[in-house]
Amino acid sequence: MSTQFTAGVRHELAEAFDLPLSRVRVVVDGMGGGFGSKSSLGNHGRAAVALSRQAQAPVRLILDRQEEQMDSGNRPGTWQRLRIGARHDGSLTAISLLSYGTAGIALGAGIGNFAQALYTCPNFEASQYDVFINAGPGCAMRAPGNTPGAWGMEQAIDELAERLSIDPLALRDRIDPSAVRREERRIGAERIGWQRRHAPGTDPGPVKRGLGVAQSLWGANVQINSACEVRVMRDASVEVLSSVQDIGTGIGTVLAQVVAEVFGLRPEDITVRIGDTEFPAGGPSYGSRTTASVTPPARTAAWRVLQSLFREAAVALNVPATDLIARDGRILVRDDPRRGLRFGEGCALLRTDRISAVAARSDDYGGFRRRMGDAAVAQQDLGGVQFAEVAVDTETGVVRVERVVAVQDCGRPINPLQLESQVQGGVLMGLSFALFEERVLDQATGRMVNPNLEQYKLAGPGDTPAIEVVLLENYLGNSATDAYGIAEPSNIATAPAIANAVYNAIGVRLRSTPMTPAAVLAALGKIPSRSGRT
Amino acid sequence: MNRFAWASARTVSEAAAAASTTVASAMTVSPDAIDRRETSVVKAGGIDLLDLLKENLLSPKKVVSLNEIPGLDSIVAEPAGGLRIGPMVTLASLGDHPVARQRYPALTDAVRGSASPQIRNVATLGGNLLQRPRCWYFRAQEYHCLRKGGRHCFAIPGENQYHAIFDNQVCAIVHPSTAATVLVALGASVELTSAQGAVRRVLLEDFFVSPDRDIQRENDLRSQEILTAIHVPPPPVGARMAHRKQGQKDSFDWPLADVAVLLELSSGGNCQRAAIILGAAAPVPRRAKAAEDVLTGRHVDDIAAREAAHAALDGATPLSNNAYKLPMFEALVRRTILQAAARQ
Repeated sequence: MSTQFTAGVRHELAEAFDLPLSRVRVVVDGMGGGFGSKSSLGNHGRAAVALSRQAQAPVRLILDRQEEQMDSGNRPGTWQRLRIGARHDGSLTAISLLSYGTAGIALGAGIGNFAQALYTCPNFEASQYDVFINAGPGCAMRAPGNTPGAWGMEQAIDELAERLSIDPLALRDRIDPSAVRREERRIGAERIGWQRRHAPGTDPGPVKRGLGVAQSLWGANVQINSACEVRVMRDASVEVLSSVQDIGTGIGTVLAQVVAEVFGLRPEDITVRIGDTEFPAGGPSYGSRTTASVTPPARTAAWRVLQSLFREAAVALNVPATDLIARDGRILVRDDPRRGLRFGEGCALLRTDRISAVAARSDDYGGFRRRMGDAAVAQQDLGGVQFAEVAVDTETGVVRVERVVAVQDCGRPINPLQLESQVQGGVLMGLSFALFEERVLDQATGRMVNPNLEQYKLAGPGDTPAIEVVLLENYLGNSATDAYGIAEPSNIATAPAIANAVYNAIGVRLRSTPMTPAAVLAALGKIPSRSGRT
Repeated sequence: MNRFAWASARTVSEAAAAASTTVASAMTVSPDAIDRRETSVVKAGGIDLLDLLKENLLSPKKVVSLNEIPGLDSIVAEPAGGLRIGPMVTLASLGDHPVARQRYPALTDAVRGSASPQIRNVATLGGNLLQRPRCWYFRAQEYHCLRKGGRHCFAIPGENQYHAIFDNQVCAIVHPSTAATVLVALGASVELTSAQGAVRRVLLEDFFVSPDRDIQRENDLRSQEILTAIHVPPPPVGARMAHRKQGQKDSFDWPLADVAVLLELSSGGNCQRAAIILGAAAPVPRRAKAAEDVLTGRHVDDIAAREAAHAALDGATPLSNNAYKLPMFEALVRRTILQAAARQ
């Protein structure tokens, strides 16, 4: 099944069909993305299983593009009104948020706690309403709540900065309590060349450039119910097993890295077996929690198996097991590294063909901020700061994003290449959200008229800016790997950074997504009245 | 997609004889329409045809491929300076053709900027000119619109941001071919061959059919007739040409507006004749006659281009969501005129 949570779907199936957990097996081989839409079994999953049980045969359920757009969930739309009170020095006195959102025939159109949690403010009030409409259901979409929430809030802060005649970065230095983001602002400002930023709309000529900034905030999520098994065989093969699934971000590679490090082996020496509920339950691949949840137990399980291996090797080397270390494919005596065994020689000493250990995710060392069932939230938040440079053609209304600098933090980066790739994906999705993506519903019938990739617009190669990713390594010492997620945090700041850059370019603010040529020309007052010309 | 029989024609007359209907009439559902279950249609690159089949907008009994007919995929540079382009020439090979690039840079710019590399490798020029419109109501089975034999246009009162700003009182489609915008400016004509071997040659500009003439087809292709060549006349002496397309995206997007300009400049730099054609503006490629008149006899400078661009939008009747096309076209017409004039 194509799902972001094999173990969760097993639970749902067991409940839906009244089966013991042991009788349900969920396997996911590869997944073509998910971004929240494959978080649970869904009606489609339940229907396929029900049909299969009746037919006593495999059932394959595929939605075509139109059905996918109609039935399987969209990012909810929102309308937001923000009011912010501030003193002349920039310090905030009150924030008031009113939002109406719609997830069609479903719930979940709120915009999260972004406006409340990002900045220090003594007074806050919010009312968020869900409105039902006759349209397909909403569903989670990369940083649900916070991505649309940031679109409103980070533009409001930009507006406030201008009203107070304070640089947007200086204002944030005053109101943002995060030392991490302060450093991210400093790094990003230097990279983008913030000192080049001019007053809004002051470029000569029809094509005007601008710089903008926005910030990201996301909880550091952890799944408690998350485990790994590590096995060592007598022939020196090493396996790591978990039901955790690879949504395309490379958790398999990360698990191999973590386990290999413990054994003093290379990542390619480790066999990774994931995406199958026959293995210990891994966490879900949503909420940016996969790496934070599954790498600490992998490291712990590997360490435990290594201790078993050391006990056998210690007899052969005639030293206490506690004196042994594993490094460069060898098991060595710590204080006399000339003495030792090759890793394979050590494994050959095992009494049985296979030894193994299972470990589960322990609590963060300082405890969690809160815990709800299997899910927990770490004490610190995740975030990032993004800067955008845009060019706006004021005659055609076309916005081009030329450059994005994304400075992000995620605890300890385990695989920087994969992280950078994920941040680039977050930026690209944010760009499409800002400029292109629009579910056009026919006002008379409620039918989506652009349910295909020809008319539903997404950024292509020609629309892709230069993206510079900076990873701020933020060591916290909270778990065995100290890793947290980056998927959603990297998506939140992009769209408002682009919107703020558009404002800086043309001096007119666009408050709706997508910022189409029609919207830009309308904001600039360049569209004649409907009657046309004669 | 329905089941259909597959045939591969070996000659033009075989293909023409097999093509019992045009795609347009095969898609029309009305009491007096032919029985759709008995139709056979021809396939060139299949880019548009497969979409129509998959969306269940077209259910032919038989699909006849033109792929194995020899000679339809060549580009011949004629000694007099013109170009004869086979209908099966792909957009990619036309865009890369050295003679085409040298003689008609506006044409090769237009095809190189259309669709995506993957589509350009398969899509043919013939299919591009004959493709059905992209109106999203027309493309959805749920909306039985005028162009499919129904009684309503859903776009005029509905979602019409990508629709026509001219000639849009009955049906507001825009003609989907970007190549057509340039080919009309260049004075190209099409060669149509019947099953009996009769050949007629029609100026491309006259080949396209506006809704007031017939709302159910975009061109004058007849049943049992194959588009066998596109003739592009030699560029006139002193010709300067350009084409610009403005999409919302730079990659893989339909134009919101596109403009082709052909100027014939005297040795003194005066414009003796101008062709200014607007794409994505009307149900057929639209000649901006008033703009052409502004330029004729004048030196083409910024002021003349600006006046012509303003005149190009005379008579526009934008719909509820597409008045943004007016300033966009005005900018694009001016820029394309200046780009053409500056070209050597």
